Amino acid sequence: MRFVVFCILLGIDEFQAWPLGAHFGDLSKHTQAFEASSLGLPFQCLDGSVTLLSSDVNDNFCDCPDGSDEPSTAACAGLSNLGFYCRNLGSAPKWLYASRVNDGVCDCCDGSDEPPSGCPSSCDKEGPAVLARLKARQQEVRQGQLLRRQYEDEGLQQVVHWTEEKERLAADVADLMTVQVGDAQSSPDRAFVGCSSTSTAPFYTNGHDKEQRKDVSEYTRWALPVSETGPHRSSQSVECWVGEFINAESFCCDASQGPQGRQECWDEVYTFQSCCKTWQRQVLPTFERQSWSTSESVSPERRFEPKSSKSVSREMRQTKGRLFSLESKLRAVERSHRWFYLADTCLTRQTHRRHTELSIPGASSERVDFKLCLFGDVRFGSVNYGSFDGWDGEHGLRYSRGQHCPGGPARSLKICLLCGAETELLDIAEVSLCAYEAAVKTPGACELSNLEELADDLEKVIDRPLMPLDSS
Amino acid sequence: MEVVRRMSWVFLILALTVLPAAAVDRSKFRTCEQGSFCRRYKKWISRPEREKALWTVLPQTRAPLPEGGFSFQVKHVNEETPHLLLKLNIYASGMVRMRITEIKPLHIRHEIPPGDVVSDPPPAAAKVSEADESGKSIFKFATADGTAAEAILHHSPLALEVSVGGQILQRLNARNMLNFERYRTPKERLPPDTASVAAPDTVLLDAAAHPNGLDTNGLWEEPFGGHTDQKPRGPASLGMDVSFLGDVPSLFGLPEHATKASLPFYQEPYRFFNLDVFEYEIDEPMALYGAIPIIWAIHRLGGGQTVSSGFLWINPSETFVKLERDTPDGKGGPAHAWWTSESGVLDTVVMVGPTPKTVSAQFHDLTGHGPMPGLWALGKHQCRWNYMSEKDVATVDSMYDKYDIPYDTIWLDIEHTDGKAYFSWNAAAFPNPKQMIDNISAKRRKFVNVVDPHIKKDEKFHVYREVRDKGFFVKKVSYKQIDDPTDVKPADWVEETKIPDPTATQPPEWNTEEDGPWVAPQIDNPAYKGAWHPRKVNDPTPDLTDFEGWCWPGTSLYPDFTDPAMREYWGSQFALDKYTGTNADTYIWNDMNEPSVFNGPEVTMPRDAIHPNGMVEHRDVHNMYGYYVHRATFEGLQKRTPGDRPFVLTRSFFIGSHKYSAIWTGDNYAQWSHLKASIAMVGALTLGGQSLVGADVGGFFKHPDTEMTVRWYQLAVLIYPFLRNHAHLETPRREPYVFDEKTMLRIKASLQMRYKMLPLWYTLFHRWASAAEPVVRPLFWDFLDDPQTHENEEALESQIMLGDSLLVHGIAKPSSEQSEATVYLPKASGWYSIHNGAFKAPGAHVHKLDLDSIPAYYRAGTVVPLKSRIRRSSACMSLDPFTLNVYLNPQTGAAKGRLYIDDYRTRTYQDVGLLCARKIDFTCSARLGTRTHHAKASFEETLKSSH
Repeated sequence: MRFVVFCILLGIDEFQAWPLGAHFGDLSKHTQAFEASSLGLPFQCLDGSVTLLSSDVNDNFCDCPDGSDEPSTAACAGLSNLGFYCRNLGSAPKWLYASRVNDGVCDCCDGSDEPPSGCPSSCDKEGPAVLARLKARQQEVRQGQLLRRQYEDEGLQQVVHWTEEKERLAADVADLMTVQVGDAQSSPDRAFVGCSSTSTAPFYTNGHDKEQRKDVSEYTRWALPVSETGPHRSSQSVECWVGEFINAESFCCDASQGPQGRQECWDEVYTFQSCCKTWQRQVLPTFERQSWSTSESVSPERRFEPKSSKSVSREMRQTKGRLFSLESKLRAVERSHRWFYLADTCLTRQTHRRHTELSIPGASSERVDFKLCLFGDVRFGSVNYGSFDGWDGEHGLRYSRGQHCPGGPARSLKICLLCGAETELLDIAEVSLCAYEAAVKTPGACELSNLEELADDLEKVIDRPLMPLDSS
Repeated sequence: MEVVRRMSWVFLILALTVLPAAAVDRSKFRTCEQGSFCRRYKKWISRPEREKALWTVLPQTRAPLPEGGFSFQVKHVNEETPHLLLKLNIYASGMVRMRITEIKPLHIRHEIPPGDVVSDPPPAAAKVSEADESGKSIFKFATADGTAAEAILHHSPLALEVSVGGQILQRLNARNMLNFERYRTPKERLPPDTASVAAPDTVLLDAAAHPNGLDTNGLWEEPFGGHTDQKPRGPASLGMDVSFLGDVPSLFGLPEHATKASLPFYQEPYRFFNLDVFEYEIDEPMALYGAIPIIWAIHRLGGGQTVSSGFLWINPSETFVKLERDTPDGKGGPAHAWWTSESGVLDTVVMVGPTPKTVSAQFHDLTGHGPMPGLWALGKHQCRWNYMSEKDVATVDSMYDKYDIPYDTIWLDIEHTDGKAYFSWNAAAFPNPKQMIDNISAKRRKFVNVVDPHIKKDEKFHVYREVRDKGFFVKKVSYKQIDDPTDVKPADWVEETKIPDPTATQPPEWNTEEDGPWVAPQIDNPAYKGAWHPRKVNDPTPDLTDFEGWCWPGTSLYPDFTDPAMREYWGSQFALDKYTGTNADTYIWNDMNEPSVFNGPEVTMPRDAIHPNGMVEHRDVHNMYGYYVHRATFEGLQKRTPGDRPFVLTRSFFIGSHKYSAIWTGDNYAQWSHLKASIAMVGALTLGGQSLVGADVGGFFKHPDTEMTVRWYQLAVLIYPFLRNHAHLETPRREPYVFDEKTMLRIKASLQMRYKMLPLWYTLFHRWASAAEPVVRPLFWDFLDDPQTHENEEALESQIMLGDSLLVHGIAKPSSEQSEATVYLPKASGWYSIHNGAFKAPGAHVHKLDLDSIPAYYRAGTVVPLKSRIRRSSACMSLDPFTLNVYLNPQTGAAKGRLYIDDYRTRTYQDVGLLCARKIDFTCSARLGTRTHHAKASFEETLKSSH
C-alpha cells in the first residue's frame, strides 16, 4: 500500500526520472533528495554529511560517505547498505548488494542490474512461476498457521492430562515400592541367592551417596529404598537390580548392538533414552564404558528375583515404563504446549548411505531408511545417530550421543524446524565428520511473521501489473 | 590430506595402532643415521687426513662441451685412469654450474632430462676469458649487470671458487668432502680399475670403500620399517661441501621444511625426501612434501659491503644437507654446508648475485620463468574435506553471497568421487555435476576438483585399465638370486672327493690271476676344494609386475609420470569430453603425489620399484615424482582449453614446479606455531622460485578458535599469494559466515582488503613472471644493506614483504598473551600504516594490538594500485576503475609505482603483448598536502590513456 501512495506522489513523469536501482521503500527523504537533484538542485547525502552537485549523482563515482549518491551504480559497493533495487516488473522485486551492479552477472530478471542489453529480460517468463510458488507457499503457511493455533489449544489440554497421569503413576510407584520393600525385608536371605556373581557396584555406590540422590535415575530411586533398609543386605538387593540394568544397558545402549536396536528393546518398559542417559551420567564417570559393555553382566536367565515380589516387580516395571514415556512427552512440551503433537512422531526418509557414511567404499548405491523420532532417537538403518538432547534456539533440536563413527566422534544431529502445513523430513547432510543437519517442515514452526513477509512479497508481485509503467 | 584416515575397517585398525596423539610419528621416518648412504657419508667426512687430495682435475683433458662450457677428466689417486667427468658451465646471467658424473658407469647414472629442471636450451653462456695457472684454471666473466666475476677451478684436490668483485663468495669442496661412489659389480667392494686391488680393504677410495671403519650395512640391501630395499646396483651416492665466505649472518631457503626463515644450524641434517608427513611439527629439519634444495647466503664483506649469493643442488634422489659453522656459538663468520644424495650425478649451480634481485633472476634464468596466474587464482579459495553434495556446494556459494563476502573458487576433495576413482563422480551426492559447476561459473567463479595420482585397482575404472594395458604403471621387482652366468669353474678346481691312495702299493701276496687287477684303495682327496657352485647374483632380468600399494581407494597403482607418453595420456584425461561433469572453469588439485603409499616404507613408494621409462629405479627420481604429476596435469589443462591459463595445485614439488603449479604447505595444524611458521615457509618457497604459494588458512587439522581464525586471515590476505581456507573432515565447518557476527565481519574485512589489493598482487605477479622478483619475500631481499634484516629475530621470523612496498608483521599469539608487538621498519624514507595512514620513521616501533588488524606498513615513496569496489569475485571486478594510493616520500615529495593490466585469464599476454604495464611516477608539483581529490583525478586521466 505504501507503494501506491508513493506513485501518486510522484506521478508518472517523475517516476520515469527516478534513478534506476533506488529503493521503493520508505524513503521520503531520499525521494526528496533525488527529486531535487533531478531538477538540477544540489544533492544532500542521506546522512547529511556532504552536499553534492546534481551532476555528481549517479556519475559512477562514490562521493557520499554513506554511499547514497550512487543508487544506480556499484561505485559505493561496500559502503552503502542501501543497495540496488530491481523492480522486476512481472515478477518479484529483488534487493541486491551494490556490488552486484554491473558485475557481468544477471541478478535481476529485468536486467536492470547490468548495462542495457547485457541481460535478457526474463521476468515475464519467470513471473507466473514465482507468483504460483509464492501463492502455494502462502497457502501452506496459512494452513500451518491454523494448525499451529489448533495445536496450541489442544496442547494445553493434553499437557494437563499428561501431568495428571504422571502424578497418578508416581503415586502408584510409591505404593508399589512400599509393597516391595516389605517383601524384601520379609525374606532377605532366600531372596538373594545367586546374585553374588552379578558384577560390581558403581550403581550401588552412587545410590548410596545421599548427595547424589536427586541425580540418580528413576529406576535407581525406585530400587533405593531397599538399599536403605540395611547396608549389607540392601547392597545385594540393589546389585541384583543393577545386574538386570547392566544387562539391559549392554543390549540397549551398547554401540555395537545388533540390528534390532534399542528403540525396540525398551519401548515397553522404559524409553531407552532415559535409560541410557541415566546410565551414562551415573556410571560412566566411575566406570569405563568398555568394562560394562563387554562385562559379563547378568543374562536374563540368571536374573534372580524374590518370587514373592515378582508380580509386584512386573507391575512396577510397567508403571515405570509408562511414567518414563510420559516424562519424555512432557519434555517435548517444555518449550511450548503446542509441540505435544510431535511427542510421538517419527519421520522416515529413504536416503543414500553415501551422504552419511563417508568412507565406506562401495556403499554408494545403498538406500537406507533414516528414521527420526522427534523427541526420541534418530536411526539410520541400524545405526543410532543420537537421542534428543534439548532445544537449540527457537526452532532447533539437538540430538547427541549416537553410535561412534569408526575412528571418529559420536554421531550427532541438529534439526531445524521450518514452517509447513505437514510434518515432513527434508534434507539430511553431514556437515562435518559424523555431525549431521536436517530440516523438518512442521506447522508448529509457523510464525505470524512468515505470513506477513509472504503477504508483502505477494503484494509486490500481484499489485504491480497495475503499475502505469507496466505497458512501457 | 594426511595418511592415517579411515580407509576401511581393516585399515582403520592398522592405522590406529600407529596413530600418534598430536605429533609426527618420528619412528616412521628415517634420519641421516638410519639411512646407510648418509651414515657412510658422515663417516667419510670424518676420515683422518681428510685434507689430502683424492680427486684431481686433469687440466690437459679440457674439452669444449657441445652444449657450451668445458669438461675435464678427474682422476682418483687410487685409480689407474680417470673415471669421472667434470663439466663446467658459466652462464651469462651470473651462474657457475659444476657437474660431476661417471665416464663409463656400469649402470646409467640417472640425469634429469634437459628442460625438466634446467631450461632447454640452457641459459646463454657467458663470455669467458680463461687462463691456466699452476694448479688452477681461471675463468673470468661478467654478470648480466656488469659485475666482474671469476670461477677458479683448483686441480688438486678438486675445488671450485667463485668470486665477485674480487671477493670469494663460495668455495665448493672447500673442506674436501667430495664423495663419488662409482657403480660396481654385485658384492664387490671396489669398482673396476682401482689401484692396489691386492689389498682391497686398505684402499681409500670413496665412502663405500675405505679403511676407516667402513660400515658396509646397507650397501646392497637395506631394511627399514619392515621393508627391505633391494639394491642390485649397489652403492652410488655422492656428496660435497660448500662454504659461504665472508661474515655470513644468516642462510635462507631449503624449502620445504617447517623451520625458521633464518635457517637453524641443527645437529641433524635437513632432509629432502618428499613424504606425506602426518601432523608435521615446527622447527624441524625433517623432510616434508617437496624439495627445492637452494641455499641463499648473505655475505658481509670488507668495507661495509653486503652481497647475496645462491647455491643450488640439483638431484632428485634422497638428499641430506647439513649446515655448519666454525664458531661454537654458531654465529657469524663463514657458513658451511655439506650435501649428500643417494644416487644420480652431482649437479650444482652457484648463483653469484651479488644482489638478491640478481640471484632471483639467475635462478629463473636457469629454471624458467613462472607463468602469470589467472587473476582468480589470487582471490579467495574455499575448500573443505569435504563438501558432500551438490546442495552443499550451492549452499556454501550462496552463503558467501548472502553476506557479500568475496571469493573466487570452491573446491571438492576426494569424497566427491565414486569410491576414490578420480575423474569420476559419486552419483548419489553429485548427480548433475556439470549443472553444479555451471552454476558456479554463472557467478564468474571457478571450481577445483582433486585428482590424485594413485589409480584405484578396479576393472571398471577406465583409467586403471588403460594405464595397465599401456604398461605405464610403476613396477615391482620380484627379486631372486640366480647363478652368476659369468662365473665359470676355474680350470684348476679339484672336484674329486676320493683318490687312489698314492702311498699304497700292490701287496706282494696279491695274485692278479685269482684276485683280478690290483686297485689302490680310495682315500679322501686332500686337494678337494668342495663342490663348485657358481656365485649367486640377483637375477638381471627378474619378473616385473605392477607395483600395488594402499591409498585412499584401497589397492592402488602408480603411473610412471616420468614417462612423457604417460604424461600425455594423463593430460588427455582432462579433456571436457573425457572428464564428464566438468566445464572449462574446472581446475585441478593434485594431492598425495609424493607419492603417498600408505603401506610403503616411510609412507611412500619403495626405492627399488622400477619406472618402466628407462628402467630407472624409483630412488633415482623420487623427489621429482610429484613434479611430473602436476606438470602432466598442467599440460593437460593447457590442451583442454587452449589459450586459457591452467591452474594446478600440488602438494609435492621440485625445482621448477613454479612453471606449472601453485603449491601449499600441506597438512598444517590449527596452532599458533603453525600460523607463525607459515611466514618463514612461504618466504623460503618464494626464494625457491615458487611465488604462487600459501598455507591453509586456519590450519588443516583441528579447529582454530575465533581469534586464531581472525589472525590467520589477517596475515594470509597480505602475505599468502595462494589464499585457501581448508579443513579436515572431522572438524566443524569454518567458512567465514559460520562464526559469530564480530568474527565474521573481521574475516570479511580482511577478505575485502585482499580483493581491494588485487591490482597490486597482480602487478607483483607480473614482476615475478617477467622479472623474476618473488611476490612475497623476506626483508633482506629488499633491504640487504640494513643489517637488522639479517639478524633481528622479529624482522626475520614475524615479518615479510609483499613486493617492495608493503611490510607485514604477523601476530601469532592470542591477545591474552600478547598485547603489543615490536615492529621493525627497515631503513627507508619512512613507512605509512596500511590501516590509518599514520607515518612512522624506520626503526623499531611498539604497536598496540587490537583484534581488528595486524601491523602492516606501506613504504614511503610508493604508489599502490587498488580497486575500491569489492564484488563477489575477481572476475566481477575486472572492468572496475582503479584507485591509486600514493604514499609520498616525505623528503622528495615523490612516489613511484607500477600497474600491470591484461585480460586476467588468457595467455595472449605472452604472444602478442596484449597487456599494459606502466610505471607510475608521481611528483607532487605543489607543496606537500595537495588535496587528495585533485591527485585522484589526475591519475584517472593517466590510466585512461594507458588503456
